[in-house]
Amino acid sequence: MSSRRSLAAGSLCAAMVAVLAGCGSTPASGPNGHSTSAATSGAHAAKTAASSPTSTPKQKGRLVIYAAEGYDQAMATAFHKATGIAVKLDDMSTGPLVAKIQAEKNNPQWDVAWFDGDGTMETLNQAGLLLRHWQPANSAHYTSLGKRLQPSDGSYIPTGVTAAGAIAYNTKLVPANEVPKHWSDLLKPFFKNAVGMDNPAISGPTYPVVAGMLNLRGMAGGEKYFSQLKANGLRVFPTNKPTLQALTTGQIKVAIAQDSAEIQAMQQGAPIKIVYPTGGVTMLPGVLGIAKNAPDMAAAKAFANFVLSAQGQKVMLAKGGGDSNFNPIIQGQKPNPVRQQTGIKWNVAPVLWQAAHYSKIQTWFKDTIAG
Amino acid sequence: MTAEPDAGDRAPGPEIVRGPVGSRRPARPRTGGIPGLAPQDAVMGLGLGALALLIVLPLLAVVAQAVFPHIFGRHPDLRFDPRALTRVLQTPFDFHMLADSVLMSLGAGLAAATCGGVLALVVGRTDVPGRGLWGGLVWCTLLLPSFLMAEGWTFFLQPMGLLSRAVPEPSWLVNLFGSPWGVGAILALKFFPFAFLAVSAALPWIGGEQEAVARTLGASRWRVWYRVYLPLLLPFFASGAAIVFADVLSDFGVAITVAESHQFPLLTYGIYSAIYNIPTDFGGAGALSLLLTLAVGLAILLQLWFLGGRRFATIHSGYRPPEPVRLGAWRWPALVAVAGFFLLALGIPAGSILLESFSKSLSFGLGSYHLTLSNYAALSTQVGSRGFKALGYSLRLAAVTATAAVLLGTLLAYLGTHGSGRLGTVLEGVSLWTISIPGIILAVGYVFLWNQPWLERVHLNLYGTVWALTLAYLAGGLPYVLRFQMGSLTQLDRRLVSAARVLGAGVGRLLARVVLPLVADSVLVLWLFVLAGTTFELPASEFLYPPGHPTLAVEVNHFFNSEIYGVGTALAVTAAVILIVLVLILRGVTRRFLPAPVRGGRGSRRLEA
Repeated sequence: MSSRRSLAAGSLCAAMVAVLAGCGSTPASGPNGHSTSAATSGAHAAKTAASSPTSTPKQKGRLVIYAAEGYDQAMATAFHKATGIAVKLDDMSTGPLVAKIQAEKNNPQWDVAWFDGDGTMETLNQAGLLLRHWQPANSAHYTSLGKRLQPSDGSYIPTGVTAAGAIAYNTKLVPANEVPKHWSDLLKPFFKNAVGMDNPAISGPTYPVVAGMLNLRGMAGGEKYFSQLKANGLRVFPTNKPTLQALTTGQIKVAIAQDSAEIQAMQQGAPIKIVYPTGGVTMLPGVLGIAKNAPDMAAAKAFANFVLSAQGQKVMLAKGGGDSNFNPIIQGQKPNPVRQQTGIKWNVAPVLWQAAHYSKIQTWFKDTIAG
Repeated sequence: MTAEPDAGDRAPGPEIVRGPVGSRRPARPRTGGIPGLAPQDAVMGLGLGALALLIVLPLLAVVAQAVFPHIFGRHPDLRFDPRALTRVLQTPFDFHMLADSVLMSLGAGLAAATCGGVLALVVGRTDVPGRGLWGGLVWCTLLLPSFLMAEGWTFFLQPMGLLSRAVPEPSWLVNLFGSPWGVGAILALKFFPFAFLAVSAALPWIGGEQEAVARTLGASRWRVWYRVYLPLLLPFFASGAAIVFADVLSDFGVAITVAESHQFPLLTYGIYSAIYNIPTDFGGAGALSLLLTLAVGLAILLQLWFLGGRRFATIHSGYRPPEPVRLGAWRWPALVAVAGFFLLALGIPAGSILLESFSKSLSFGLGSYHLTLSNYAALSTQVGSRGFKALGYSLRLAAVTATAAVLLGTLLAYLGTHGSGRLGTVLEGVSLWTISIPGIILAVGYVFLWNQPWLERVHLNLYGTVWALTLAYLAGGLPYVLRFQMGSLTQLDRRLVSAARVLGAGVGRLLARVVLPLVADSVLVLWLFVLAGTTFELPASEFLYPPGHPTLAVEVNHFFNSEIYGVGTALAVTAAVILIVLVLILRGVTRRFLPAPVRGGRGSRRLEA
């Protein structure tokens, strides 16, 4: 009798759990009208799977995007409105995003990956995770810069450009005659213990800053520069937030950070101005990649094409918060007027070079500069 | 239910076999089924299997990659390649990280046990004013996630921060903040509630009868405390210290936020950067996790050896409610001390976070400072409403998880303490060990484990569904329930249980009528604790949330990353307030309706049986 009671109690609990969990996940319909709620997705996926489960992708009836861009949600909504295709978005910063993609390696669940950093995207390409030799129809409208950024094996699609590391200075602490114009100005005594930057190990857009400097000045020259910065009291913060906060509160006088974030801080009223040093700033393209055997390939391709269309570009320029402060690479699109356009020297750190030197540079930075 | 033995009703029930007189083991029914296998062994087996599935397997999935790096690759194979492991073992830096982490956690554990334990004694056994308030504030500290506390401390102590607006900030304080001492102190102040709860859960059951006997024999008040109560309470102090140790070791909310410099890197930070660095280094993370779990396992074995598996059953029929200590002239100094402690532990970080939610992002610092409601206003806009949606989603999932964790955990804890011999010790050690595993490792392990192609063929591909996330949450909450329930159930004298069994109560009735009323309070407490912890959980949520349905912490993080920190803080504060209100309401309501455990001071001698 007691075991019957515990069995009854157990099944009641299980039923309760199931009901509550079912309420928790809201079902969404795909284009073929399948409900994709948690309880049924497995069964449906199995039914609609092709005969050979390993090679042929399973149609899930929805587009899955892993993205780290401020305008990703707006774009997903706009795409859904325009095409009726259901979109499921995972929005997180680049680090966890790439870790998740890598963890799913043997059974990718994503269709589209979208973040800043072609070097990072190249590592995914070299792991064999990306669809190659395909570019959307709208790539015909690339500017010359856009065309230059396209990879030779067509493994990803550039969507816009920012500067990986521009100098932002606190206008209340840095008088006009001390405003840095060259990268070497940061080594001056005036900036002792007053320069801050993000940690490339944590902040995705920061790796190109470091890699770009090392590419520009050569490995030895670049390492020397950072060592000198460190000797002058360089402070390394985990991410943009503490870096920019340190700048605004006056703990540091200058910060090296992605210019779109710096522009956003300015727009929020922070007392900072931006300088693009004469040595040049490393170009940081936003890039979109499609999974090699994407479960919803057609939808993924449609999405990529949509992003490069006039409508998609409008969404990117208006709805992305700080990330909307980028330079478009589609003809006819105008960047946000608050962005400086003249007098910037753009350096391009070659993608393959960046990817090849990833672990070496990260390890060196961790051991020598951040440590 | 009558108290008569079921004399004439032998057929459906199991035959009861009495153990030898005076034996410590309760009478065990022998089933007619598998000889030698009692039903509770089967349930215990299932329970341990569940633990293995929820926690051990995901951990193994990550650790294995230290020596089998291609086991979850695009073309999985079992090639043995220990380079990740050897690299970690050969890097002195990694051992520094391990040593630093373990030492800091030990320190924090001892500090938290002392503060929390003493506070529990003061609040639970003396007549210091405002006891209800202090208990409530302990709850608030427990419910607030560590990353939020770290955020508050940073806002307060950073150069040009809140403190510096009031007084010129001494530089030694800023340096202390980023040092191991500072971080350890912050973590101890965040996790002391575990020690408080461990000790105060034990206090009501340590009755006054021993004290009465001792006083009759001539012992002074102090001597009674020193020779009678302290030894009885020592296991609970140690238990509290052990949980804090495990929690501090696995915490990286504070490690990332506060310890920005790498003068003393923490192991959790090493694991974090191995996973989030590019290229992703799961093998390195696995090797570091192996180091961590081995070190913790060693520490736990030491703890068990030190305590000798001693158990003190204090709930028995001779129970007499204890008398509170009258503080007399010490009342007001005690009040000041307790209030000061809470000001430090809760007031500063929570107050700073509150202030930050009312300020515009990045406006704080040089120049004038304005309070604004714009962050909260933003929450009700379209951009911010996704935050509320995530909060609702998280609360629903957390409720389900908390229910499952509490039921399963209490059942297992009961079987562990009142079943056969060593199993209880094993269970206790294992649950503590799992608490020390960083959440990010489990999260990644879940991706590996549940994203297998062959699982899709058997309709068990849980990855990407809400089930995987719920299981991960359950894995996070279950060890705490196990730990605490084993602690409280230990105090239940076996003779009470034996008496009920001899009178014909089966396991179900025993649980419902004897055990549950006595632990009902702790069941609710644990339910609320798991609810709060799950609502704010980040690492597993980030990896496992079903696409399109972010949880609360994911959204807060999203706002932080989008540079609109103010809105993120406002969202976190809103969630915390909702949880605290929920806790207050539920505690208030259930105090009236649930059978209350015996409480001292009113002379009630009820013991439901």
